[in-house]
Amino acid sequence: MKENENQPSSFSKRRFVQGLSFIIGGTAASSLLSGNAFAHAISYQKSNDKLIREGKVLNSAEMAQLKKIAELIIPKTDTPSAADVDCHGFADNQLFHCYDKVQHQRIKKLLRKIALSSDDRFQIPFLKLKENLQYRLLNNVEQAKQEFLPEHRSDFKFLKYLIVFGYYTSEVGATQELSYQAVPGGYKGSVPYSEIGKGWGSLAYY
Amino acid sequence: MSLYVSKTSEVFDAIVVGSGITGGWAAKEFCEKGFKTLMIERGRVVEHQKDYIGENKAPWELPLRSKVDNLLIEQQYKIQKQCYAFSDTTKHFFGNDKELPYQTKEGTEFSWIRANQLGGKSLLWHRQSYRWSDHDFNANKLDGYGNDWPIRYKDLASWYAHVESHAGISGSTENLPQLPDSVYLPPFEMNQPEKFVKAKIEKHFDDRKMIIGRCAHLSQPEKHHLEQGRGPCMARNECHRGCSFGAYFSTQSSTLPAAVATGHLKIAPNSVVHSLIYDDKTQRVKGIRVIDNENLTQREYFAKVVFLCASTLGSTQILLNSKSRHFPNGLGNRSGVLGHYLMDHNYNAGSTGYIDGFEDEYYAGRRPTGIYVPNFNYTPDKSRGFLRGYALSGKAYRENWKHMQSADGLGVEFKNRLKHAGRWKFGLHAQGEMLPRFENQISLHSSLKDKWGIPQLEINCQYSDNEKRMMQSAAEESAKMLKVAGVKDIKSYVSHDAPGLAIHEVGTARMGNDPRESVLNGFNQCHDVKNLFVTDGSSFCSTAVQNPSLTFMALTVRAVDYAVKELKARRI
Repeated sequence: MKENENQPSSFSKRRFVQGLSFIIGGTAASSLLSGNAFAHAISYQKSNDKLIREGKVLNSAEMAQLKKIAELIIPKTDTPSAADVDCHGFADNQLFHCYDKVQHQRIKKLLRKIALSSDDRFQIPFLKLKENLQYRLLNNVEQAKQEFLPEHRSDFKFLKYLIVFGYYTSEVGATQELSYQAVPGGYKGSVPYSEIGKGWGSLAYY
Repeated sequence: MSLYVSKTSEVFDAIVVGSGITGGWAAKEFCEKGFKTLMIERGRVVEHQKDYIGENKAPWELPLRSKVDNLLIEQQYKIQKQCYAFSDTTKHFFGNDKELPYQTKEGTEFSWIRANQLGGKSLLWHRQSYRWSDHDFNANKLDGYGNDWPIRYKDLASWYAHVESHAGISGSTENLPQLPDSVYLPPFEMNQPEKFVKAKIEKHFDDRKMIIGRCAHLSQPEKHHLEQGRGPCMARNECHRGCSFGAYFSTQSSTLPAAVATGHLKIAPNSVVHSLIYDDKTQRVKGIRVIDNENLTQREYFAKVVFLCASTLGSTQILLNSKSRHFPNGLGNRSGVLGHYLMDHNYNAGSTGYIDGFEDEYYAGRRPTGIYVPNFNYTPDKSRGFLRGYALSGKAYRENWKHMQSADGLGVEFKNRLKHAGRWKFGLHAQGEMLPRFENQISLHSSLKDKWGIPQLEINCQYSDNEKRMMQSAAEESAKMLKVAGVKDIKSYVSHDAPGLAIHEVGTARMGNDPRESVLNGFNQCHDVKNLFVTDGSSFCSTAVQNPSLTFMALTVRAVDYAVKELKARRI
């Protein structure tokens, strides 16, 4: 787990709890965990910075690489891309809070493998590759072709899962790319698909 | 005057321990009959609407988009996280595992899902509501597993109607011998592929029906529902977060407002019941001993009659811990069966597949129920290879981005694919009956206690070979049904999850005509202590196939009616 010592926005939650325990006692600190206040204190905020910052799990180079991969998976069409809605930031935050170190390492190793592969094959860093070559490389990862093994394919599926989840649960993904009904007002068992024209973005369970 | 009390010397007419589905009904009925009633709740107060803090939140408004932080799970929710309804929007309605320890016998597992707050699991339940039939009440007698139920359908029918009318049950009239009809609000619609599958299954199998799931939702509220402050179901299907429309039945939406309106209700929150106070001379319970949930101090409450509605395991834990000279093995346990015959439903089999066509069909809204195939093994048949039966439930839906989250593909083509609804998927999943067996039991641990000083439960519960054979059959039969409906790519499964997660735990303080082999009589009254009643799932003699909650409600209102008559006649 990566801990940034200086930025208050990415402080370690564990240290936060430990600190609180010291001040107000262990029981009170852990009871705070169930409250809303704590959730907000550690909540993930979408970053609008042009500058790619270090994440909670990934360093700034890895974040830049993930941003590009997010954009390649879900590019801009008439709606924004996954990178436009900061799915890379989301994925890093989600990794930190909801996955363990083994999973963190899977993503880091995969990003390293993709970077090395680009260097070896094209003698150009992945981010500087032409888009068609970036796609070819990612396709090779997904199909476990050439230098990529089934384990890389499976790690890529995990990465993709995070990006896709981040996109379609974002406001843009759920309401612009898909059709969203916060309060449907009732259930209709039959409506023509052509009338709605796209899938529902409002699902009961995510 | 405040609704909530802490210390009081008042002797109430009735104490109701628990505020979930069962406790809510007991309190409502007592209050409406003019009884001064004290409802005991071990957890905090949850107020309707105001305390539904996860409601009305879009996924992007949630820090982890509905997932729950690892550290929090590790510290508080290792067991609760297994519940399908556990998420960032509902986690505050689940118990803190760290504070609620229990043991399981070596080599066994049992997931005990807790909801210790006002409203209990009525806030979190799945709302499926089915009457039982005489096939269910007769089952133990016919095959000899468990004891004979002391009641039959005719004893409960009018009480089912009583609770259904107030709660609001949506469903369709079917005239089925194994699944009596309720007093209904209009049913939810089936979608087109479901109608198609229904027609195929019913044409091919004389003994099988596919109906819309009956659920405690106001599909179309009646005047008396609107007067309760409840409104129509909006088809959000986010019920577990709490529903400010009051569209599904919960204590908060339905029974509590009715009880409060009488002016006869008091609630003692944060009151963890330690034990019942038994008076050797009168052979009655005088009241209850509670430990404060927060500051751990002890206090007592007194009443003429006590109703235990503290959940199946909760009520029995209280009885086991209420020891006296007369009852060294737990109050009302002269029979020695207290704690025994624990059961849960079995969800370990089913089949899924895809329905071709219907490309221009879709649905709007998120229906809070599915389709239901009532038990078709309700008459005993030795050639079947297992005893009792199962129901199947499921739904047809179009796959979405979630199902394609890890599908192959990149770029515009991939994005456009995920934008659209996918193939129609259909599944049937079993809910099987579990036999009552003496060896499936709960007991008090000899040394381990919780923070309130109450001995921890030790649970020893396993499915038997009968349940396993039944699941094998459910996997095969559900696949056959999908096949005749033309479903493609059929996949059947048999899983091996331990009991507990159906959250339909019943038994451990069973009813019966014979005091030598049961704890309660046919009115949920303790054989040994006349002013003590237990009306939650612990009183069950068998699981049947149906979801238990509607029967909790009917048993409870019937028991209150009986207790009131007995009190008035001074027999208790």
